[in-house]
Amino acid sequence: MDPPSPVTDRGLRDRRLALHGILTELTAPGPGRSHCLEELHVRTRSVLVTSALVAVMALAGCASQEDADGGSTPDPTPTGSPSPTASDGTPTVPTEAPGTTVEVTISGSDVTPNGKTVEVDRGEDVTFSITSDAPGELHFHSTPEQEIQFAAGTSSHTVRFDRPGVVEVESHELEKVVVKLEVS
Amino acid sequence: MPNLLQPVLLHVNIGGESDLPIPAAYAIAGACAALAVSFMVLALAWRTPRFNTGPATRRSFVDTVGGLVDSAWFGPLVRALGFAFFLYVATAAVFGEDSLVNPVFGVFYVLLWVGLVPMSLVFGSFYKAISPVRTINALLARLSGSDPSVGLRAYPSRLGYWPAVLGLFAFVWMELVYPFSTELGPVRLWCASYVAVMLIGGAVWGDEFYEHADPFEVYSTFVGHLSPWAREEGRLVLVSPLANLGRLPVRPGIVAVCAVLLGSTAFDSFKDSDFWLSRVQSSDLSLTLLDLIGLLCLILLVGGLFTAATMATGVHDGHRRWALPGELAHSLVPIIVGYIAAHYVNYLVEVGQQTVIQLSDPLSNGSNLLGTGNRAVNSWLTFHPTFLATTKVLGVVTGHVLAVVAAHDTAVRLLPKRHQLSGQLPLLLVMVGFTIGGLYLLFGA
Repeated sequence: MDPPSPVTDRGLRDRRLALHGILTELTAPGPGRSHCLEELHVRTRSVLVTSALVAVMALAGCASQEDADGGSTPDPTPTGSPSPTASDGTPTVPTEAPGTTVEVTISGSDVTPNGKTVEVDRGEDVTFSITSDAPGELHFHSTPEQEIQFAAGTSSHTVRFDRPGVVEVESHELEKVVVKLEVS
Repeated sequence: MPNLLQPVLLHVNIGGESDLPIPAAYAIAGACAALAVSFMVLALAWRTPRFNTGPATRRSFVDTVGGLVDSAWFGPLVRALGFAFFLYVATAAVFGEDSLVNPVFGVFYVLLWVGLVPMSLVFGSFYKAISPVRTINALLARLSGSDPSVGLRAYPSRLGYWPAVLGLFAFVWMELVYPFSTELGPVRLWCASYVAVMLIGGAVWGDEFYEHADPFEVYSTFVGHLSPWAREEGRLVLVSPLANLGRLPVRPGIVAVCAVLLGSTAFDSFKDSDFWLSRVQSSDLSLTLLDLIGLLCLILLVGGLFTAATMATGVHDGHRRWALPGELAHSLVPIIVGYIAAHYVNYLVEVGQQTVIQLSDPLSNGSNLLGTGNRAVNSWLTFHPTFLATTKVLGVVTGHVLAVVAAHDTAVRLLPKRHQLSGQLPLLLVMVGFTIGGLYLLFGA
């Protein structure tokens, strides 16, 4: 006995179409529509979408030319602002050093910030103003590795990085990443 | 000085600082290029398969190379060199210091895991040629007077690549999740277990076991199918990499191999993101458990999306829909290679150099056995972040282009005429999704 031909046995084919994927149903040839016409529609659509995407690419490339040259991502707000002169402060006010300042607060097993990214420049003085309830260490995964040892209370430490890259700053006791310094 | 008996490093980062994120403009441009190429392939869609339509043409220089590679001395020499290197590093592992100066970590995580990719791209099935476990198996067989390629029984074909999937997962778990991954004891134990399992498998099932179950050999074979080298009737031939992809043997577990490789690389990026760090560090659950869940979820997501996308199409009568993901899995290999290139190129170049320097002093006693001990690492790539970012985006987009072309050619071969274009759309969308996801992770999620 001959197996039913898919072309002539419309009932069987319609049942199969109902079982197949959603997209299959959308492009299934209906009565009167030819396969070639459907293909032409898909091809025309593809060419139009391709042209639109090329246009977007060109716009993206031209519009953010400064970004491409600078090689930096959108700026998350650093916790301190660079100041050109050191202010002569009273003992209760931490002295502002030139460069970026990152404020770190450690209490118990919580640390603020908690894995945030901060952008710094190569060779810039990065000052860590640490307020902690216990003595500890901050490890910097840079090349070469650096380390800050701090006592309980408030203290200020400065580090510098000469190589571009993302340096993870980790609290040794808490085993948590405090900040990620994007050095560029 | 850090106490080396405690887990000082949260993340395996034996190279100091990580790469800078790629600029937003590059990520957007890359994503648009990937989308544009995908639709261009649909627009130019060819209707008959272009690859593997006949025997590969042979040229005389390929015959010369083939003669060299198949000569009686070349294979054994390469195998001996590979085994000598294995013994050298094993000495460092057994008798060396438990510190990051020990070259074992660099060899294991960088030269082997990452270096496998470019070596396989250039030389084909690279790991198979140097595999120390194959060498030990052959030596043991020679000693007992038996044939190394024959075991006690035949390898069950239903198992396919699944043992390699387990091996690959064990590696990426060790690399990304296990908190003591940069301590000598655990690395030594991992390698010893690997050798033990491979030797037992080789004894029971013969050499065929390594083709299916050795994680590094399977990884190297998959990437090697993007190289121009192939074998036809035992002879070396040169084929187009895209044609070579189609020759990757389809066995059970092929999709899982690709899912583990792609998902783990994605997780490596993702776990350093601000989003993941802040969530994981403010949770009460253990970091190890959360990282394991994250790794598993990404792997399952990649595998699940790919499987669903390849099956959402009409099929020929008598063609099983469930066979489609396996038959199309080879098109994921270029995406995997592109993303690994983007993620690890600077890591390989810098930490690779550092490892070669450290290899001169395997026992950390001040010796300079290989003469490289006094060299300095050339960090050109680190100091040229724009070049590095461009290379990364080009790598990812090139991988995407090759993947889409390979998928189309296979779809044209497998799918009925009516579904050749529409049946590919879900897979195309998923591939675009993977590429855009990869670019977003490089941008710094």
